[in-house]
Amino acid sequence: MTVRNLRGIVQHAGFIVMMYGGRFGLHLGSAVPCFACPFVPGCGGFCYLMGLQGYIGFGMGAAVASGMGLVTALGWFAVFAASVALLGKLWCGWICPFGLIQDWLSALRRHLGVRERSIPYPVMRRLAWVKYVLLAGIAIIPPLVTAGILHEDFYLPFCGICPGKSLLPLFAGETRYLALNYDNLVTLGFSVALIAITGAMLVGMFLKDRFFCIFCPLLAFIHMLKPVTALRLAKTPDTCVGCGNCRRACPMEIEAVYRERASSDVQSDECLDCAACVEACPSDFALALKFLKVKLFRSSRNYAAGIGGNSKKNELSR
Amino acid sequence: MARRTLLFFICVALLMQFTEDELRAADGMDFLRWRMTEQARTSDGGMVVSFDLSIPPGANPEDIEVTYRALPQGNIGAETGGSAPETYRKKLGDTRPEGDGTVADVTVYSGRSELIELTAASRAGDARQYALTVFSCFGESGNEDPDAERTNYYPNRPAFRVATGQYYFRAQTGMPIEFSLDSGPDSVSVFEKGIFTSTAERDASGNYVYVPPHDDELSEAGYTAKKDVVFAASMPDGDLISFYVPVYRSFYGKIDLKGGLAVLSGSMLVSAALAMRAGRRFPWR
Repeated sequence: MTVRNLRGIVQHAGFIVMMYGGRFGLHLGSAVPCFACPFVPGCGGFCYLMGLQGYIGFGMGAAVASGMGLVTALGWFAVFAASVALLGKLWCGWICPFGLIQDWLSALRRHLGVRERSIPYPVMRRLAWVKYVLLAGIAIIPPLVTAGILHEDFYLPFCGICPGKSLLPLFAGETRYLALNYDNLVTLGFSVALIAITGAMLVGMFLKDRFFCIFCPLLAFIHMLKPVTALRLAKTPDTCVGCGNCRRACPMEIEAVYRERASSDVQSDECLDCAACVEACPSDFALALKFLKVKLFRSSRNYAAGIGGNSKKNELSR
Repeated sequence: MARRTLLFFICVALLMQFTEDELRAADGMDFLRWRMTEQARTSDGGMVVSFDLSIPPGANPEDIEVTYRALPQGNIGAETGGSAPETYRKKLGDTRPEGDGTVADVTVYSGRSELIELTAASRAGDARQYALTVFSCFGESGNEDPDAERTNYYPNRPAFRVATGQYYFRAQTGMPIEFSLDSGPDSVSVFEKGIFTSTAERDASGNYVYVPPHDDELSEAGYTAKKDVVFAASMPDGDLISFYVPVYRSFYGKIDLKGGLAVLSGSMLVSAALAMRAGRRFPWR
């Protein structure tokens, strides 16, 4: 079994748990580091961004005395941080249900014979600020709602524009987040923005692998915890032959892994730990997915030659 | 002929007015009833729900019994499924005069996921009065209400059941509120925001069904805004029972799926056109 196949199995299992776990009595809490959407009826956990918005909103200002305790908020952050420390960005590349939907769309594109639109890495780097701006919005807007400065329908502002909220509930038969909401101007504005962003993201995700991940604030938040993450991508520059396979195989078109010539730390903020680069690398030991100092999966010329022999499975054959 | 028709309509109008006035007189707001004032999380992860209990003139606040039953919600927290309901007795909090009557504060704390049925029982004159409400709590602390005393006693009130639904914990405008009352009248009075608005009739299955209308005030105010709906029924033996439900704005009342799909299609068309014309800056891979 290839790592790609294993990843597919884990992704689909993760999809079932995150989307339908609640129907089997399984709930992973309010600090899941991937898009387990609370707007999916019967979901198996809540995306931490949703919880974070609630905790920030409840945990600050005048609500401190009567609202959600900071202790509880810090407790959920500890759960989130521990989850990230343990699995790092495997949450993004291997478990996230919204990531799987993006991979489905990419597979459909390849099946239809449509080529991928490339977003050159320098452009992607320039777009990186978007996810940090979104993260800042998550921190700033909820307290303004709690303080009464903003209308209370600004509560959960990121959820208001997150395409996961409109697309993931469809898998549980819930279509209302694709509808315009005329309750008031705030709800109408959010619903128009959400649907317009969803449309743009659907096209983007079809034409470009993991397009949404470029803008994902949860990916940014997980990357901010990099110093405590046990699982990460590492490079041994001495053994790299500079073929560029890693860059071509990467769904995020990251160049840092290819360009790095000195340091072993090649975990950039766009990296999803999907291990496509490690699979594609033809140099023994040049790249590895490591848990602390243990190499879980390392590059090898035999492995690369093995998956290269099957052109249908090989990203490099595009 | 025309005069007779006119007379007929005048009589019908008078009769309707008389019936409505009679209901108002019989079931005016001078009865024991609940009103939710606040729902909040506590620092230990529990939930506190505060109520005003309106006590009619003639009833002595000291004679009022407040009890509640907590029914663990198996459908919400799998770990609590199957447990028996627990009964607690509460004391009234601060009281203050309001109109001819009195209002008392009552606060319920819950540390678990549970459906709570709160009952107040009082005697006014010869008749007994009961006020009921049912609400959900999603406490996570596991602690018990520190101001409640566990008891096996529960007032012997008319048998009352709420037909709970998927969204019952948050009753919405436009969605039916359904309950039954053994030996109850054919219709119960409905008060919205303290004003008599209509009656809820008993249907073929013996349930009273009322669909609170959509409310622009709620739509404008936000997702936590609620309106107070109270059902009041005069029982054949003269007792009076009220049931309070806080009603929130509808999830579905003002949504337009076709409009949303039109926006989605437009957005996808524009995005696809932009992607096709992106040029060399975004080459095909």
